[in-house]
Amino acid sequence: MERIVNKRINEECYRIKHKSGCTIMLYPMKGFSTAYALFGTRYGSVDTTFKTAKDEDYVTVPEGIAHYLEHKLFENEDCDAFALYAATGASANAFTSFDKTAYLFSCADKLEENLEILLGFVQKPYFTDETVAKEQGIIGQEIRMYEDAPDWRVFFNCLQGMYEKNPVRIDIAGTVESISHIDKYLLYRCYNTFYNLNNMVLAVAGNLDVDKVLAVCDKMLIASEDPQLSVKVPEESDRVYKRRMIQELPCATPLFNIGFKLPAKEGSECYRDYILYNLMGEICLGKTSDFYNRMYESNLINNNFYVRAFNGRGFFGLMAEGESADPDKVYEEILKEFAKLKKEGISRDDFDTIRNKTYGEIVGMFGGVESVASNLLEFELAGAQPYDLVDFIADITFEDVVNALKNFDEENSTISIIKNKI
Amino acid sequence: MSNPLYRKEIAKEVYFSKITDDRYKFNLISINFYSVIDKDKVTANSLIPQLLSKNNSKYPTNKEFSNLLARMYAASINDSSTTVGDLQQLAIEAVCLDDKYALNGEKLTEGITEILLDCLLSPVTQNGTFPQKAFETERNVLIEDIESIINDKRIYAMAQALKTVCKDEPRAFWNETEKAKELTPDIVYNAYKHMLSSYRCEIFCVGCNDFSAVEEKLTSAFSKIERADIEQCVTNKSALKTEPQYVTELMDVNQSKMVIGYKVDSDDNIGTLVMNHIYGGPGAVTSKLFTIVREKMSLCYYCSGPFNTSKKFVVVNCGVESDNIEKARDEIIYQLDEVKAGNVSEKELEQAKKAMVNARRSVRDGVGSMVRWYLPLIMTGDDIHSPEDEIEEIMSVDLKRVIENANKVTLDTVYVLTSEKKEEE
Repeated sequence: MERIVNKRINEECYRIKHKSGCTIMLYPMKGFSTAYALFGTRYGSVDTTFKTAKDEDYVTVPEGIAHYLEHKLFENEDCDAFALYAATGASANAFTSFDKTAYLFSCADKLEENLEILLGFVQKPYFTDETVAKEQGIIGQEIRMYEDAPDWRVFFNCLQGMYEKNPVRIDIAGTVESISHIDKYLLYRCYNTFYNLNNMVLAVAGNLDVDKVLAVCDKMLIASEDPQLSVKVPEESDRVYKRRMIQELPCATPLFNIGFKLPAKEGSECYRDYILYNLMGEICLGKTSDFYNRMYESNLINNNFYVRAFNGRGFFGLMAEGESADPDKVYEEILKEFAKLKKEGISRDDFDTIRNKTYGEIVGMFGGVESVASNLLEFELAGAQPYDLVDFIADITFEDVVNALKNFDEENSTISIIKNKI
Repeated sequence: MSNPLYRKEIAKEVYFSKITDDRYKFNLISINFYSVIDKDKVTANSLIPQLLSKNNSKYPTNKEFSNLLARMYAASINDSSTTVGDLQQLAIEAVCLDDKYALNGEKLTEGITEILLDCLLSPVTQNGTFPQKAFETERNVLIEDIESIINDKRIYAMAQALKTVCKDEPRAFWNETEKAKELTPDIVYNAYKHMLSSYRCEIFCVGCNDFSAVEEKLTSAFSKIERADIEQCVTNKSALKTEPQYVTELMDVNQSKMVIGYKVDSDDNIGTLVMNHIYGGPGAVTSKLFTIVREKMSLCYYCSGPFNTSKKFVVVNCGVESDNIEKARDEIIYQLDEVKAGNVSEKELEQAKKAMVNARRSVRDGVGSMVRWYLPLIMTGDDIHSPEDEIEEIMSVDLKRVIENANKVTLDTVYVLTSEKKEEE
């Protein structure tokens, strides 16, 4: 058991490499009533082509299957996982993102009992033709719901412009058509490949007793052999695929996402870049910047303008998102602003201000059981350290940001717009 | 550890409440003004917190103000205009990290209190009113905000349905673009002055700070405000229609949305909450609507509805394929009939209670959830009780009480947003 301490914010947690192959991250938080647990696997919507040591060749599976599998794993032979949690009162859920799938619960008591449920059903898949068919309707409705959501569409359209081949460009839930090709055999194949404990992490934070949690893990985690998983990621150009993406949907003010494509790194390095580009973006375009206030006062943007780095396994970028009557004008102004700041430079005061702000936001992430547990899972699955963000924000220098801006190619970007369908 | 709720009237109809708990890393100070929703005033009122939260006379530009907050480790001044029953709640609130996390020993909590008070009591003015330019900017933001409700079809459908559910009641009215266009700086400034002098005010602090210094500053600041006759804040329960109303709205959508509104003729809020959890409460994964309409019949991805304890209505909402609207509607209504007929097991009751208890035990883990727990209770005239008190009450509910309360629920409105014209009932 490894004790990981961060003296900067006076916090500590534990990492355990369990004999089953699973990595366990535990974060006891004094004074809290609840505990939050996530059991996750390095398997998301981008993992569409893969093989294990036992497979002769790579297989490509239908888009949306990781998400479909997440839905189906909730169902056991006898009942579904919700029914099991109902006996304890825990609030349970699951999610699939680009690069991970996680099953979670929040509880105010009976943590060990809930953990047994979580570890039990995730390790016990049960798919039949009937149960797989039944889910087509529910997920079909989930997909249809997102088709009507302009904020969701504007983001995915932007990714489709930025990336030509990387599967981050596909919808996490797939399409009504793609999920129609999913059957129990494909689900079992995906499950047996990715739901291997060597590929999984359990993260628990809040009101917990380390020894009691580990005792449940010893009882429930079934050792599995490392399948030597290999995921094929298509070669992707460094440049964006398309500069402009437009769709019409019923909406009010047009929505826009402007994605700047950047090289993806791995592990802690990815989070160092995450901090670096968040700082750079905030300094240049954030609420404290000349740009933001000029645009806001000209009514070209409103309160819903944000700039943020987005990252995951195999993709990385900076995204400016908002609403504007004239998104192309905002895009033009953003490009001009970056060009100007590259020439004239940014101020050290602005750097200090945004570093303080980001430090506050990062410390804040350690303030609630849900965010602590979620970050533990994310960082461990990504091969990073739990306190990476705290250390990076403390160590980053003005020169780091100046250099990042100097090398930043603002033209390597895509604008996605959703216009009102009249 | 958590201290009990402290509550005191610090000026005429200005109440200061606080909860100190060392589990938090943040401190939150929330100042809220209340009035009964008035269709002619609601839009002007909504602009007040929006204008107050962007700057103040000491930091008169948005940029200076944002920089100040950013340097205080991402402290924030937030504004909102929302509903509680028939009331409009105008809020301006500050959130900051506790002083112990400041890198250079800054007194963040006292600092943010002063900033918040300057925003509230010393806004930027020009010739005795809000400056024209800033006013126009914020009015445009408000108009975009009003119109952007259409972006989220679920929220849009709920808002549209409530216009019928609460027809002619204060709750049916909210911000309107046309009203926003008619506003002037003077109209909103006068509304602001009226808010300070005549609206009931609730200040709520939650965090690890003991807020004594905050209370002193607020008491001193509010003692300088002239408080006139304070407007009454009353919420009436929503009236049942003589016949259920069926409304269909057309829009080019991929998925249709349906809202089914019921009226509740019961004073037993806890009994009704438990009943509604069994029937189809939000997040209730053991409810009849989740297990049957979603899981068994695969009709919807979401299908649930909250019980509004002050207005006494339940609004079930779902997203459904247009071909399945009638099927889903009939099943949603039928499942309530099942509860009314007593087709509810002890197991369903126990599951509902356990989930509700779990949710209430989680309330104390967040500063925001504590404020959201107490303020509606205070403002809708309900007993001010802790989450723990409510747990006891929930545990006492039996099946008889569930069935009795189900039989006090009556269909009132069926609203459908769809791309195809369906036959009217």
